[in-house]
Amino acid sequence: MACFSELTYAIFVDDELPPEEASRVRAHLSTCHRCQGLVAALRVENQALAEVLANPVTAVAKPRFLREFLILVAVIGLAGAGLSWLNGQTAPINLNWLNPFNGEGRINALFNLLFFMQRGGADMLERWAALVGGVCVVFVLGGTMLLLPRSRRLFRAGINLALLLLAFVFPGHALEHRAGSIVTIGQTETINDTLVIHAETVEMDGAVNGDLIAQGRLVAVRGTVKGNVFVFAQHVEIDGSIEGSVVSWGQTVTVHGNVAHNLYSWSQFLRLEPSSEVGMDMISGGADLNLEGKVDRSATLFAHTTAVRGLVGRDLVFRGGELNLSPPARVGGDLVTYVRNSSNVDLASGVVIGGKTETHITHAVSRFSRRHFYVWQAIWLAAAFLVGLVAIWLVPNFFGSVSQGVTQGWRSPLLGFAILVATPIAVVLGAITLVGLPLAILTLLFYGIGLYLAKIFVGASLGQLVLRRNSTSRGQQIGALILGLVILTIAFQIPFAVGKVIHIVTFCFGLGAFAWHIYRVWRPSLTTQG
Amino acid sequence: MRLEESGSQRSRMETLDLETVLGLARGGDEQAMGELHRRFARRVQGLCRHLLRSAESAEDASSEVFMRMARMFASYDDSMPFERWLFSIASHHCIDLLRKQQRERRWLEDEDVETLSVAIAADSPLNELIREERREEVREAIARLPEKFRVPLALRYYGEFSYDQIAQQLHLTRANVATLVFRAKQELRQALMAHGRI
Repeated sequence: MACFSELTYAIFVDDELPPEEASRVRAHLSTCHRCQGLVAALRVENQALAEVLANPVTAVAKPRFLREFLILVAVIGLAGAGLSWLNGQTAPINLNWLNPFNGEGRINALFNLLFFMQRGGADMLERWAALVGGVCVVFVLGGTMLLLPRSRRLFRAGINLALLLLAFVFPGHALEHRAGSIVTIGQTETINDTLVIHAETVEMDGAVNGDLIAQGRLVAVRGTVKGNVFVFAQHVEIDGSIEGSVVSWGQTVTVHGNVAHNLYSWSQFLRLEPSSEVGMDMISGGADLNLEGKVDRSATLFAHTTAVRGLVGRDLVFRGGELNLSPPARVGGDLVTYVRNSSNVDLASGVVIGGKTETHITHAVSRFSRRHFYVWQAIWLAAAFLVGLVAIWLVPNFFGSVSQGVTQGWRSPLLGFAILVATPIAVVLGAITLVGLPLAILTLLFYGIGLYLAKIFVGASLGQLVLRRNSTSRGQQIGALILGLVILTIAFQIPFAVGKVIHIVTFCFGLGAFAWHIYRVWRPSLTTQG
Repeated sequence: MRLEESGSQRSRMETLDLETVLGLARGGDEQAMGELHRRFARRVQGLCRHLLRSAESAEDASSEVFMRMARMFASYDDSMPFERWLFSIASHHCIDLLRKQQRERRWLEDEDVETLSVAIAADSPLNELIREERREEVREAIARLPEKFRVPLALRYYGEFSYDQIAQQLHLTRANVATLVFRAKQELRQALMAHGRI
């Protein structure tokens, strides 16, 4: 008798053959050794399958997953350390073009702000103890947030613990908080701590020996502040004497008084009155800037229109619409302007410029017609591909599950959106509320890394989606990655803000999947306790 | 006080046999329902995980299954083992979910089964890997199988459903199911062989 097909034997082993056919198979098996071997192997295979399936996946997968995660953290850490070392190196002038930190003035403003954060953070070293507390709070709060969707009991316990910690940590900061519709600090009043005010109208005529953080509709600072001033208000008036720096956001910002260090402002209207003086640098952006006071060092301005009648000790850098300098304006160093048209810079006679005058004409040229645009895109693509390749090679499980997680439901994009929006807010709050500048900078660093990796994860996922398969081999994964990255690179360039929207959506999906999977690595140990 | 009471009730519940717990649950005892969850959650979650391929969706699905169990409890009679009954709720739910995702609308492709006799069971890499205690690799390969293979495979060898039961759940013929289960194993062998090469 001829042998049966392998399919028949498979059904036979599953005990699913009709009785009469099964008995024919049995009869054949009694005579055919080859088929006996096949059936025995099929039985062993079935048992093996049942055994493999019976064991829960995470119990075995977890240590490996955790190991991969630790490798990932180590690699990110090393890369971060390497970058910061690189940043600290000073390149020879003729190699300066290699330095990615030597970018446009726009980006300079951001770095200057970061620089300020670092510098301003020097006096915060004393607060390391408070920082440790802050880190604990952040960890507990973060952990609580992670547990939020899972266990209500643990969530409640976590919240209680977090509140308790908050209560312990904040008094250590020497922070005084005032709130109300009108908060007035009288001329005779002296506050030895950092003062936080939250009110509709804030009138500060007294003395603050720490920092002043104020938020309201109208904030007038007429007294003395020994530390820095952070103001977020519709109208800001700085009349007094500030011995630190001023950081202000507002619709109108008016400065009559003295700022011993730097002035950073972002406002619709900024006015430096003739009596005002900024002891160091000024970086400012807005629609309408009026500079009649004195800036002892350099002024960097981004504005639609700017009128300068005051003094700038060193360089004046302007980027934007129109700049008007009229006597008695005086610039000790260079006057550097970036404008659309040279006629937009109006230098009245009698204005003194100590150094040279440079006017750069900025062209609104389509980025697609520039060669370096394509070069950068290619570099971005290659770099992203390399990072993805390293990830596939180093941490295949982690990479695989994150990129798979990108397309699983709405949890990823929603979580990603929350992280995308909340992290910058948390960083700003962290930087301002003294919980810890280092922590804020670290968070910012991780945020940046997360954003970068998000695109790679989404690229890998997109590639698999397009190829319509779950890649099993490394080769297929790599192919999917490069395909996805190419699609993303092109999609990001779609004009009329479509590309930007795609970019943001990509961030949401990628960040969400990334964060969720990091959480998945930790969670098993948490749930077994709970 | 109340906490202690419920604690002792729970430990009492743990000592009861399944029949008694089922009887209590039928009478609307919430403690008994909780006990059923405690005993079967792991198994149900395992089935959901194999079907849905993701641990988090499996958890969600599993809690939904137990909610359905509570609602449908009145319809359970002793004609089939309780776990089997629970498994059929779970597999129905997961298959519904998979259908909704519509990732792979077709459960069958028109390929001829017999032409794909590349991997013969006799030297199945599966057995070899299991012998070598490399179950993890097998498990990963199963998770990576396309849905149309993974689902019947998990229903057959984890859920221990018969071909007929699987056919009913997937709206297929019995012959289709036999073919899919067979093909699933072939695909798995191939995937494992390819994996071994890399």
